[in-house]
Amino acid sequence: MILAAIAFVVLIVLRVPIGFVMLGSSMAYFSVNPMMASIVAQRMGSSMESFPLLAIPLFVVAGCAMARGGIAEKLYSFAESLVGHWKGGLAQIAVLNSVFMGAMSGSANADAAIDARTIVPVMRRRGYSNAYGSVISAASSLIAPIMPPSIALIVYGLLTDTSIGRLFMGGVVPAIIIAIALMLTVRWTAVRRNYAPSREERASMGEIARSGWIASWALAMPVMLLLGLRVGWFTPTELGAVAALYAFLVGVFIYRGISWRDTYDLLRESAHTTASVMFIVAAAAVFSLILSLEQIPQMLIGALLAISENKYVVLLVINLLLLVLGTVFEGLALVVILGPLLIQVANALGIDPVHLGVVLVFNTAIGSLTPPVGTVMFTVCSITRCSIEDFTKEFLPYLAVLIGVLLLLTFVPPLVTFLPDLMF
Amino acid sequence: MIRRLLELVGSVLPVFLIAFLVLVVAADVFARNILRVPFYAAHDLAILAFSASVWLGLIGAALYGQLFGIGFFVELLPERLRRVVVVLSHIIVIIIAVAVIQAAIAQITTARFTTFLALGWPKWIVAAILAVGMGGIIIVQLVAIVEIFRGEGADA
Amino acid sequence: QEVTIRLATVNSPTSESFLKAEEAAARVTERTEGRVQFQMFPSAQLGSTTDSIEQASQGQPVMTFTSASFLAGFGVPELAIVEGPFIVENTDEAERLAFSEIMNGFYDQLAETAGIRAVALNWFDGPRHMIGTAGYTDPVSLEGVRMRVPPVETWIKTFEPLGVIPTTVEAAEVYSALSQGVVAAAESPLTGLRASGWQEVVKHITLTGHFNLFTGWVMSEATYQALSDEDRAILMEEFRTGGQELTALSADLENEIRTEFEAQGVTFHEADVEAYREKTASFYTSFPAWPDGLYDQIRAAATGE
Ligand code: NA
Ligand code: NA
Repeated sequence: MILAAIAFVVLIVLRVPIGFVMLGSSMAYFSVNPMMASIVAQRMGSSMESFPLLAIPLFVVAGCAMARGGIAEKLYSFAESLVGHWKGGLAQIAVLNSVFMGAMSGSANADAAIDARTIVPVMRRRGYSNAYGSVISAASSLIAPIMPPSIALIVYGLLTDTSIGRLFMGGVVPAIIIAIALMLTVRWTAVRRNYAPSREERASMGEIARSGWIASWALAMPVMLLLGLRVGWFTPTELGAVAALYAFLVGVFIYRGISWRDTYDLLRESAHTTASVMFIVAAAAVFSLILSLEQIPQMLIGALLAISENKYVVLLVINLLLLVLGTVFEGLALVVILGPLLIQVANALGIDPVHLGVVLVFNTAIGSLTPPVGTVMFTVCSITRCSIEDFTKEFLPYLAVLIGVLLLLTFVPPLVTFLPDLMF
Repeated sequence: MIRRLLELVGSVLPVFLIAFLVLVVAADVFARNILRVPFYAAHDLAILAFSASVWLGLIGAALYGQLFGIGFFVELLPERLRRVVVVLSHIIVIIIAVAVIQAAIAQITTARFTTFLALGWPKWIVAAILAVGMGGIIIVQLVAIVEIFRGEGADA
Repeated sequence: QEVTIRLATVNSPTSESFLKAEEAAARVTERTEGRVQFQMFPSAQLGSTTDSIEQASQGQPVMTFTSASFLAGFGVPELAIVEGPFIVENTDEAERLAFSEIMNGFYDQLAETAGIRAVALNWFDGPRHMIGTAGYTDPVSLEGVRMRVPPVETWIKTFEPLGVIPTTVEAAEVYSALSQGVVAAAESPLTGLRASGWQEVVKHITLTGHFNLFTGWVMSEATYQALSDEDRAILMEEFRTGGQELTALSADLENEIRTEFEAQGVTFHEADVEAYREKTASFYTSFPAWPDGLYDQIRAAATGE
């Protein structure tokens, strides 16, 4: 255990790629606590078998196809005609679109992949820094795992016997709060940086109508996808494939922007992005085995119950602990391993399981943005070619705001539980 | 020559695998809604294409310098020392990759029974592709080390 | 000879099967005076079911929760038959079958080919029923219904003759898939339904009882052989008892769950079991790997005649 921790730190300092850092420190652990010889390959292989993870490559391809095929450009031109006169207008759009994307995809990785590929290049052209755009894409993607339908909330519900309908309702208000908090932060940072509005004054109705007409094939995309989802043509994961195909076909036949060469390039870019992110997910699957084998979760529960009988004190400790664990462990893995154990603490202290679920999922989602290990951060940075260091610097104010929202949701449970209590 | 081979395995193959993945998932949606017939193998094929594109695409990602590391500490070092550390980190990656290959071989030889349920194919295929991917990673690291010693180590 | 067995399951630590396993494990440790100890790994902490079976098969001291048809893939295809449609009438028959001579023969074969020892496959969590947007009293009403069916041979060969459009949906996506209509129906035991909450979005349950899965515990044959005769007997006995307790508990819960669901607006439908049995009979002639007369042998073992 200690050996693994030392190996982890040493390898990080030596700039070994993160995936190999986790594999290396796991191997250090297994050298002292032998498992079967094939354990690393077994875990890496079976970590790929989760169908919801398929959303990552599918949405990465969809994002690339939208960007190269012209859909993204036209969508954002239209959006700009609506709010371009705001300070940091494009960044606001990036947050708002995640509210809608979040209502479709349920996965932060999927949403971040689309944003990073579609809106960041446009932002760069309008004078925003690459890191700023990257951070906005990443931070706004946190709406997706809270807004129903959310994969993480479903997983939590299944593992803890909590009503998924109630969990979904519990996510609605927090998702809106997160969106508002982010939009305020965007406004504040845009003012400080003097990111001017992209246009002097409000666009005329005629201008809006014109750019809307030009973007009609692009605007039809979210409408059709939402429709297809609601009438049950496809699941949220499958939506990624349908979206990719639609964006590609419109790019080829309507906008005529995609050549064979472009097709190859967009797929290559998607393959490399997916590989570098998924390799880390696979390595994390090996790494989190150490937590289990050391029976850390069980010890944790005992310790938590011993701390205090005040549920807010315990919730605060849980949050701090998860934020720390979230820096190096993968979010969904933490939900799976700790969710069922934390629910026992919640039951003992009278914490509403829906409240715990939303707080837990949001907390671990923040972890997917924090260095050194965060899959959403890696997805975004891999697409925008932003360095982890630049990303981190730019992310700090957003981290502060997100933690603020987390604490608000933790200490004011009705924000989460009011709606489900009303509806069920 | 080596670069072209790495490009083939690490970029061209993954491109086809990713395209196949999108098509297979879309075909499943089409089969269910329009043709109203089951497409059992879709799920297995998608998972297989996905894993293969990750293990092989990793070679390409390494080749294009897309594997994430934290360079913060290394950048504090003086130029000469930094080179040593960079070579060291390539060597560490090689060692870890060799260990993964060993694990993959152990998986291929011992996990005889598990199969993709709908396809009936053995699951060790995934481990075999993982081994190939790690082999490619080793070659990429060796190429990088050679380039550093030739004084072309621009990435240091 | 002291040993610490890693007890692994993909079920949650609050699930009935895990709680019963904890009790059984504690009794084993007590009766063996600490020679056999357990470490608990719920929620797939050691990996998927396949992963932990592979670990056991490699001689790791692992014990895991699985089911007979799953084990059929490990070199004993005959094991799949006990999870065929309507093969047993009730859990008494199932219990008798699980420890019958013919099944013991298959277990020994499993130990030989795959290094896995079946400890107790009598952890019955209740018959599986159908849930959907409508009642399916007669199998005719299933024609063309999109149903969530795992891509597993026993499921496919049962549901294809029923005329459904079998659709693969991962466990985590079934709730959304049902609520949005990607699939109109799914199937599960009632205890499982309460955990997954599907009855929140589709309100009709048809009591078909089409499958009675032979779930339970298997472990590494190497670890098993390393135990003394006495400890082996204690282990087998206590996990068999645990299974019987779970079976009884699931039966009790069924009535409770039914009342609870009805209060939530769920309608229960009786099924024409004879019609279902007839329509799925082709199941028993569709496995080329099974020897002739296997069905009759299994029925004889189940009824004890
Ligand atoms: Na966004
Ligand atoms: Na993190």
